[in-house]
Amino acid sequence: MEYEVIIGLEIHSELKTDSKLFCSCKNDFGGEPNTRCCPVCLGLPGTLPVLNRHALELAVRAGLAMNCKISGFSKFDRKNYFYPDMPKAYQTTQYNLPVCYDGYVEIEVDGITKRIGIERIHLEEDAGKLIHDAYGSGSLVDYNRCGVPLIEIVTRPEMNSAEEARALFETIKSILEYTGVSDCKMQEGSLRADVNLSVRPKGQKQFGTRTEMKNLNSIRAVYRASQAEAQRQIEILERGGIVYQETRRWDDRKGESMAMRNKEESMDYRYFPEPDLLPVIIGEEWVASVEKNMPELPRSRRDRYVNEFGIPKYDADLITMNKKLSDIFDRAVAVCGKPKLASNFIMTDIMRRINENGEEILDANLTGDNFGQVLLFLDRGDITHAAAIKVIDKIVETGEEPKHIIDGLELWVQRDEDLINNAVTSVLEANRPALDDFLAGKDKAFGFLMGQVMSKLKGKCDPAQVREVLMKEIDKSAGRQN
Amino acid sequence: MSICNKTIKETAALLRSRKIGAVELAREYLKEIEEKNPSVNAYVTVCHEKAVKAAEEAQKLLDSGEEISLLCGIPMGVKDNICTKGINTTCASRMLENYKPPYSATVYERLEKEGAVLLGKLNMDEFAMGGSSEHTVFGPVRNPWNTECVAGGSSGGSAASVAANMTTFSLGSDTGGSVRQPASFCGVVGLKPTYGRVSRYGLIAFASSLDQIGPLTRDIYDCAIVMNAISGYDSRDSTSVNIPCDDYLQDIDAGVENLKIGLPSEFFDTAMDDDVREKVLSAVQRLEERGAVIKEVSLPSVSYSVPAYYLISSSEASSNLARYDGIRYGYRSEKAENISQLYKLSRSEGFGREVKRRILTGTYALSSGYHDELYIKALKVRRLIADDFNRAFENFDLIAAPVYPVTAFRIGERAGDPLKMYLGDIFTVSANLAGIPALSVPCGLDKKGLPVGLQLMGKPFSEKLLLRAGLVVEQETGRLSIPCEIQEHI
Amino acid sequence: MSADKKLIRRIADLSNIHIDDDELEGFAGDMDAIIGYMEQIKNIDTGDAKPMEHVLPVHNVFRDDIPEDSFEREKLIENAPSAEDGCFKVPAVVEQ
Repeated sequence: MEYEVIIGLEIHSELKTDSKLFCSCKNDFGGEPNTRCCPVCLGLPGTLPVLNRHALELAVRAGLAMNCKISGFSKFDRKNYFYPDMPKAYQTTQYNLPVCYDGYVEIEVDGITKRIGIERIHLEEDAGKLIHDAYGSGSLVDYNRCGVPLIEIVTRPEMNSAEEARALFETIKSILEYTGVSDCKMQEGSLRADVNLSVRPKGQKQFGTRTEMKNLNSIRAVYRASQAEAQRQIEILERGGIVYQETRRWDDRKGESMAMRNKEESMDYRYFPEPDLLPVIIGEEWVASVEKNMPELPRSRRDRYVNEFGIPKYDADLITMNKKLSDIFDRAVAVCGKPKLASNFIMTDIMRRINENGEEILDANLTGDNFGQVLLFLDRGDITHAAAIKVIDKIVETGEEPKHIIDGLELWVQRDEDLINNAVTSVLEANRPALDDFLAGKDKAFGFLMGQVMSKLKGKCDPAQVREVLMKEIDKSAGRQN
Repeated sequence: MSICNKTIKETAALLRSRKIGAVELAREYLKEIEEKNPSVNAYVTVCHEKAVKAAEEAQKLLDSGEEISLLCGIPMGVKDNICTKGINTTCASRMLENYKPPYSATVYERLEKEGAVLLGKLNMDEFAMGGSSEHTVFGPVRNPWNTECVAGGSSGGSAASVAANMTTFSLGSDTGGSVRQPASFCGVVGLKPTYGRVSRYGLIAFASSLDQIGPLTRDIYDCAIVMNAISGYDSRDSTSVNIPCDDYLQDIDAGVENLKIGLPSEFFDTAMDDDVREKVLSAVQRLEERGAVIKEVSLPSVSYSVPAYYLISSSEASSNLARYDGIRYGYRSEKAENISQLYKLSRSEGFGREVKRRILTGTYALSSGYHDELYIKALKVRRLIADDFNRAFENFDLIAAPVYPVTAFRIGERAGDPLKMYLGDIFTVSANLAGIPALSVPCGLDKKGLPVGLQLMGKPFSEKLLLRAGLVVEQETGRLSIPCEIQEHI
Repeated sequence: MSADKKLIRRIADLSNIHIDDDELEGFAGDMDAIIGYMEQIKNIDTGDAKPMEHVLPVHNVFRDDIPEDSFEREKLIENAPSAEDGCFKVPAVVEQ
């Protein structure tokens, strides 16, 4: 039988604010345990929350970027449950009046664009962290992360494959990065997703029973967990079994999920309006000002690359998917004025380095400015392509100025005609058979000769110039022969 | 005769004329506390050294000749649910028996800054839940007028300490009458300000949408002095209102001529002691004699205020008190072997029975299946009650009512019947539900020689008008002070 | 409705409060009276009244996103019944 997979995601993203959601503690990852805490985020008796305006604006910005409606009237609620990482024993969140609702994002899988609905985006606080103590005698609680602002993005159950789930997660990640809403550092847990998934026989109207997989914190995990869970449910149905509504935990190392203790029935969060916070009214003017300050979104940036720069859509997609890379590209184009050169260089050489060494190479020394300068030199023929690659590697390593690196490594293209002439002459003399081959119509032999000359020149000359001299010399010897 | 029966105004004058020094004054009060506390049980913590030190600082300010607050050097007591940095703040609960907050409540900071001298922390019903100050881990507060009787609650220690001259003034908190009712039982002035007028930052929450800190004082004038110090916007409390405060002393003696005062028929139709009814009505009559216009007014929905109040306050309390889990502070059961027991046993052993009843009630009202028909319904009734008051205030400046249906009852008399206790709050809870200010001012003694209070309610932020009218009542019926023969027995 | 023992158990569980068997009867009695009384609210006709969540007609109370130094850790941990390595300590929590 054929099955239809139905997936919805709940994505939690920490917001890039300077301070926490309800107090002035720093919103920073890490730090010694309990050193980014105060009486408010520790929920000490008598303390009260005051809402961070910027956090609210970031939530609105995320909503606008995902084509959501912004609630004119919004409020906070308490979600009551006990857990040692929740110092107030309730999470301040938004229950029935989220900041943003009813939006969508567009994803692309295999060249087909699909619109996925965003049901809501709400603002809430993060919890602390449990650490197992060294002696196994108990657990330790660190509340540094407690009170860090989060948005929860809830999609409609409109994805039908693991590929679509992955594409959505990637797309939302890049939107959040572009809009400056979050830095999406997944290794720090600042972006994580829950996957809700069910399957049903194709054609059946009624939804199947869904399971929820919690806290997936990489794109790969979202993909693999979706794939495995769809497979698991289909196998159960094939066997005539029953899929239970439950929460499952994904083990990324084993590549499988396990049912968590099922407390669904006894969970009663007793939501009620947070009496310590007043409602939020977001007028049209406010929305307009957030909209005005909205950074360019990946989609529009891609379209700009395609339409203005004439870059292939595939390349433009790949570059814009990563905001840092795209920022470097944009700046480099501004510096060197050669978008195609820049995109080609990125698509081949930079991408290879990212694949080999990870995205971190974009974090440190490589900037749009120094990359642009390298391209400028390359474009003018001041350095060769091979040299340019060496310079980039050195920049990543040391952050030195391109010019400085080129000076140091003596990578400047030699323009000395005599030098080239001499090299060409001596190569032609030493490789008479190859010359003859070429003259006899074996075009391949030219490449060999060219290589020999370049190698003789230690790659320091402009290949175009070398080629020109070589051709001229070959013509001459052909003339002599005839 | 001791200096400890003076008002703030009188004491401030003595301090300024050098008739007494701030340190000497603090010592006098500490002595008074030492003598009387064993029988009144108003204080749960006495800050001997800190008080003397604060008094020394105050004296420096007094000596400096600079313009200083009337409260400089004035002794005060603070209810034990208001955080005082480094000083035990217990909520009279086993749960917080040894809790020393690392920060101070805004109100306390403000008073400290004005030079008021903290004598100690005051006994109360556990987590401010109760109307008799019997539900406390430290034993009941006794009414200085008759130590067989309760002092009222939950700010029983705050009221008793002022009445028994164990402080010049005190702070209490009022969620459903917890300042006004003990003030009435002990014959002192108590004010519950408009919700949002006084910062709640550092007040350990019972029911966040109803709680408000208020002063308990010997007379109306003192109440205005304390209000001038504690009211006003606080950026740390989102529900504190950012509008300018009145000077509560200005025009305080402007009288009540032509003020329209409403008597809610729903309240006066309620069963109450004859003595209470008589004293309240006679105080109202005095107001009329001084030029106020008295008329009946109807507040149809206030009859439902008790269930609405208990559902809302218990719901919020069930959430506010969930944080007491024995992890970051507070009582932790030694019997707990796992995390689940840590929660369940710590909370079971740390909370008293009344607190548990409220938590259970609130959890029930918020739980799925009952949420809409109990909690949400209570919020709707709250709206109706607030609307009733709004409508009434279109035609009236003030509303007059009793504070409590009876005067101070005997200790233990009502402890076994929680529902009966709840029903007694009928006159006070509606002001909290509507968020309006309400004053309790003594208006005489009943046949047993126990104080009766008159309650005056006004529109939001009309504290100044309440105090003006309260002053007329005080002038007409006289300040109450405990007769010497009783004082000697305490 | 009446507050039977089973209901009290469930509510106590949700509140994370242990109730001894010998206390249960007493609590059930109290709660039966209290809840029974509160339930009269169900019969009140509130028409189209909107739930009153806040008495103040105030909204949009914010703070600026300006970080401040955090609190001294020792002061925050001082009141903890059990602490280790700058953390609050609890019996081992097995992930659910």
